[in-house]
Amino acid sequence: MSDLRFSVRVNSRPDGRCDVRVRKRGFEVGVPLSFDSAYDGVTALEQFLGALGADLAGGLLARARKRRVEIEAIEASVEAALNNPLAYLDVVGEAGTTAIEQISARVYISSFAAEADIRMLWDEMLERSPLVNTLKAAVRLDLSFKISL
Amino acid sequence: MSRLPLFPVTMVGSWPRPAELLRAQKAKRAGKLSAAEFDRLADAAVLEVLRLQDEAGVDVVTDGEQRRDNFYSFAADKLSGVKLMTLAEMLDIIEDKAGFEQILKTLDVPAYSLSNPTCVGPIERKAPLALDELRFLRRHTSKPVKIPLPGPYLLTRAMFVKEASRPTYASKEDLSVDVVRVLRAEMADLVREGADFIQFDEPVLTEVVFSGGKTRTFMCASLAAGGDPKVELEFAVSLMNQVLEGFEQVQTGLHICRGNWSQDESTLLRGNYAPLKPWLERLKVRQLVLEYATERAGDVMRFEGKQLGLGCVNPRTPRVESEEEILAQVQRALAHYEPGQIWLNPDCGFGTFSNSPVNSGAIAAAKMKALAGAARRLRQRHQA
Amino acid sequence: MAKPILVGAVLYDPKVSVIWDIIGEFFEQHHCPIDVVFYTNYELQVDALLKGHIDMAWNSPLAWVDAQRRSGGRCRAIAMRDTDRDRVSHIVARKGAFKTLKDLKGKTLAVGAKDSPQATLIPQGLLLRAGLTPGKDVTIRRFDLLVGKHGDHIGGELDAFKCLDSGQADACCMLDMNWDRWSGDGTINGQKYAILATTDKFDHCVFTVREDFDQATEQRWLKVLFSMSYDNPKHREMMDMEGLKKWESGRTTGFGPLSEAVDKLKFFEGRS
Repeated sequence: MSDLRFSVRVNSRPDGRCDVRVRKRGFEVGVPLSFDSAYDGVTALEQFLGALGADLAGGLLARARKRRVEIEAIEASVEAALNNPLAYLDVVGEAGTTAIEQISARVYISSFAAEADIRMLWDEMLERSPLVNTLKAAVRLDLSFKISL
Repeated sequence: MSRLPLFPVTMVGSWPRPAELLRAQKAKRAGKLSAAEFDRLADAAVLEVLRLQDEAGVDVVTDGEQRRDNFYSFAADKLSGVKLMTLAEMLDIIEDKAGFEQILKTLDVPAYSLSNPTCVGPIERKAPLALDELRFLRRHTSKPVKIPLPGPYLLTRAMFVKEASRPTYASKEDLSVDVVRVLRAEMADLVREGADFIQFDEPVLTEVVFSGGKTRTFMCASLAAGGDPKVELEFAVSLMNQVLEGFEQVQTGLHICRGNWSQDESTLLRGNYAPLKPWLERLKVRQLVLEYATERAGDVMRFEGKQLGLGCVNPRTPRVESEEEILAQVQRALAHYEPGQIWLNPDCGFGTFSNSPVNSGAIAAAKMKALAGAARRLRQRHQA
Repeated sequence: MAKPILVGAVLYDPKVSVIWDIIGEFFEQHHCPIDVVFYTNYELQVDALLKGHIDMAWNSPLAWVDAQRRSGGRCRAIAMRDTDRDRVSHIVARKGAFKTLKDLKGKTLAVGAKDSPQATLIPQGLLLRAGLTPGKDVTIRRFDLLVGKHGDHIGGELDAFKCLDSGQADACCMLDMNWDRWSGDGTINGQKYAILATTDKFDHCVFTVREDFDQATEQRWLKVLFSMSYDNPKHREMMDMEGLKKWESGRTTGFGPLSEAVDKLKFFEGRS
């Protein structure tokens, strides 16, 4: 393990949300998990999924720049399934945990490049992604891409 | 229209675009290609589509909608007060994102690939919607020409995004007044310059009926969620009839399908046309252009006082229907319509959305050829 | 601040917890706090009510019948939604296939989950009244979705209709509200299917307490509950989520069809 550390600082707020600070930036994280489709914060779980999506999309763009392959746009749809979300609500009689069991990411790529070139970038990105390399040992990862103009 | 044979063969509208034209479309949208350069490429693509239709034996031709990014959002280029927004951009401003997310997942497409013409100010024609298409066709074919246009209900529902439109129009009903005005002006131009057949596309009517007005199926990235189906259908009929008032002399049609955004039929709507019958029969159109080459559409039924544009080939399937299958389909329709009332067409276009055509040009051509072959045999059987 | 009233509710979907959060906030604002305890099935909830672990239970009609059965009739029904009163269920078949319910003899009836009052138990009670024994005179094809939750989730009913629609059953059962909704949105083709028979009216969910629940507390709680008004824009969204226009007093006169069906079908046989 290397000595290099990446860190953030997190402070709670009375409303249950948290402020995260890193270098000169800060961002807000909502509650850990919400079942309210109108919840107006970004939950910790959603931030986590967003981070993975950005890792995939940003990672692909970085590889494309390096290889001089033109990609116009990337969009990632990321979703996670928990073992049993009802465990979060203290439901009497429910078994299971709140652990994430599966994460699916569908990555859409707008590019006129050949599919073989895109596939090469994809494989290189997966090899280098810190989040993918960490998560693949812990959860079922279902990652795929589609060229979509 | 000059005298047509029995069982005229026509397209619903669109054809797959060549890759070069798709690149050009993106480049033009990004401001990297001039309109003139785009037109040069589009002209060539239209000529090729005309050639393919001639070769197949199509009687009433279209330009394959080559100049359009899809069957309705092209209106953003032609109307002031309308901005073409990708769904990704709209997700920033709309309240109800969850519905759209679900649709995107079902269709397996990214938000950036779907565009919606969004009303952001008072609408006016800054250029004719399809007159340029008609003029080009007139210069290059002597065959009768069909011009597809987005229907008034479709345009109103698609363009009215309350978060963006309310500063100008308090409701979609208010917007519809100007939509009708714009479409009537367009019709007048097209009729004056000799359009033989004007077809209005209103696929959203099946969404209204088969999803309770709640689901947005992205046949048109419509955002203004419909309400009570009966109220919406009355509204749609009223708008269409206002557009058509006084244009009885021209051949008109209304196309309604259950969605053409995917080859995955499980994502498309299902249900027969019966719930729409009372409303469709009140429309002033001469012809109903309907899809029947899928079991999702149920059995052919009679609509009083209307011609039938019978959908007899499925634009999405790789298999080319045989002439026998098409003949059997027509036979079923003849139980309800006279021979002179039936036209033959595909269920929908082959490239409704330019960036995701539902078939290859080769298969599209083969299907149109099969339709024309079946039509010739029908004429032999039914010629007086 | 008053001691919170413990209210039990069965969750079939985590999203339902959001409605209870909103209800909880409403009672908190009206100085009548409640703490909601979620259960995975009604049997556990009725246990908890009768043991005194909770003060009040939002019970399905079957849970009401069970609570009365196990307590010797020592529970009270204190409140229900307007939409919980006077419901019916329909037996649906292809148009013209049958004239009366008796014509289902020898045929297959698709029903919901085995413990669904509206999609299984009450319609089977109707069969019995018509002289047909379920399982003997009529084959029953059940869709046991979320057993233990008493048909709260409509999936079983939808599956039963799809079974009919695919030709694997001759008829199916559904709550009247689902017939209306699915006929309107095209799920049910109105040209193909019709109602063959309809049950007697019955009542549905109900807030249940034990007879020893403090009456003053009950009255205080009911006063807050009945202060919810659909005409109040601040309450409307909450009431739409709860699926009602008005809260009504609890009544027990509407559980006849279910009680009769449960007795005849010996539903609770073998249970304590």
